Amino acid sequence: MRKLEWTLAIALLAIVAGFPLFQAAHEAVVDKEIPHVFDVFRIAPSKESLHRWDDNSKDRSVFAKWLRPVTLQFRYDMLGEMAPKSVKGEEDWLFYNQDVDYLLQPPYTDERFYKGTFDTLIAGKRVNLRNPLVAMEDFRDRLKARGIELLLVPIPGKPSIYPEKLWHGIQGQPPSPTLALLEDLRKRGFNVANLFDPLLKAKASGASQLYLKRDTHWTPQGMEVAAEALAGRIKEMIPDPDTAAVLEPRDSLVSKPRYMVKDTAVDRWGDIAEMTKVPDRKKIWSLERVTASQVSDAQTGKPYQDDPASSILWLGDSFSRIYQTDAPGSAGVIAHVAYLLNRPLASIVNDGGASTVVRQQLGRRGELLKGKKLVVWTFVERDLRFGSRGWQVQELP
Amino acid sequence: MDSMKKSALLLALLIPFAACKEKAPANSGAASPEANAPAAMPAKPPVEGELVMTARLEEISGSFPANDLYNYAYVMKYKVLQVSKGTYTDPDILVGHYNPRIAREDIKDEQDAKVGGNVKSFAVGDVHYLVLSPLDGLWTGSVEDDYFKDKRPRWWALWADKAK
Repeated sequence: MRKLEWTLAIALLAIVAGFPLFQAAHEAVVDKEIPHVFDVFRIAPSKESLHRWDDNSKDRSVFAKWLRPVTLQFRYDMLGEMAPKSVKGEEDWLFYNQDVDYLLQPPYTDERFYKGTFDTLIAGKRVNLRNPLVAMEDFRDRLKARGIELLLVPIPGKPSIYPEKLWHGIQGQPPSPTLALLEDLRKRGFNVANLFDPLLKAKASGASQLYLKRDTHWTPQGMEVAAEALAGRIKEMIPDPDTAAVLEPRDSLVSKPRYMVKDTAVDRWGDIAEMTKVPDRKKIWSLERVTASQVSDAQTGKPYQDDPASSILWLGDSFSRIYQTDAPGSAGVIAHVAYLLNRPLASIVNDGGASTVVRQQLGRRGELLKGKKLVVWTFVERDLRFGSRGWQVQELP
Repeated sequence: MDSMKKSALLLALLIPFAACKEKAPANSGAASPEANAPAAMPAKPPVEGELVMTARLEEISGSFPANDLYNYAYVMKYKVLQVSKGTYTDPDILVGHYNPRIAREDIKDEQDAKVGGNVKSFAVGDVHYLVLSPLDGLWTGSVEDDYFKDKRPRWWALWADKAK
């Protein structure tokens, strides 16, 4: 019995110590570096530095690098299961876990949303920065003090428009918490744009597919529906929609089209398919071919370009980047809104960073606020819960 | 007696750790003299860039996000040790590293041609040989940058070698 205990204890110790020892030996011999494990003794211990050290250990682990793909492939082959970030839907559709979680978990109006957070004192007011309304109100008021209007645009995630592709048993259209937010914002005097209605209407009318099957983003057709709704909303906010007289006096005599569009085919590899990290993913799923309309200058034929001096500043995330700086270029929502308004926009775009990072970047590029009449702040709805760096209050330059 | 054995065992475990201890980071207040010494630089930069320098990684603000959904550049602060090409006069510099959770040599995507070197992971206190170009011209994607109050230009690390 004693022998068995010793054997088990030694086996356990060998497993516990064996992997780090093997890793350290590998780094010392193969990489010719001081093993990463010793870094923990030379960094100033803080929550962040220890997290980084821990992440580094996982990222560098030779054993994990070997085992992870094997396990992921095995789990997919045997169970059809994918990495924790992806959800398999119907008919080869894939969904991003956070997009789904956002719809299922308590919204910002529910006290459970604030579990584990604490209040902050800002300008004598006790607020919880987890609540996106705090940053939104602050940003609106700062802009208003400079005579600039704010238009808030939450972009629906894929499961809000295609819930039946997540699971065929979902009947009807489950309401996204964002619809309640839009209502709340309206009551608080915000200018908002509702993209749910036009996208659901386009879907009901049998329009082409509005979101990519294996990507978190919209197709060019979905994007164009949104661009049309947004251009219409911007024109509503600016009293003189047909000329540039209110937006840009210097352009008031320009009435002929400034831009033209030309269709081009694009092959998209889905970001959710990539996220699964399943080694055979490129064999399991294919590229999606879509047709995007590139916007170019009607006079010169050059692709659409922002104008930092424009009176409209666009803040956005990857929904503004796709087709715009990605292939084919100049065919994203910014170019299309510019096309519909017949004038260029200024923009700051940061993948996943629309909740706070774009406003931080605006802080560094204060010159972009010069001459602005309107800021259009777009963000994907899941960021209301999962926004990178939360919804921080940010000073303007 | 038991406690003596335990102490001896603990000491035996700690000695190699202490022996391996690298130079302290600048913000620890205990930087060793050799930490400020420029590391050996190759005669010719491995890639073309506007600035070539050795610099000590002084600060990493926050933690690196996972590379689940987006590729990104993460801006870190370096203390400049020696500039071997180009003109740079500030004592520190803000450098954006592409997807810092991935070893430089393991980056095989469309940024492959713009990212090189032997750095496997980033730790405060490490001395790097850097070839840099302005970030704005090279990268239009996501930038994780906690130095948003600092208006100086950001640099993109075309090459990052860990100085031995």
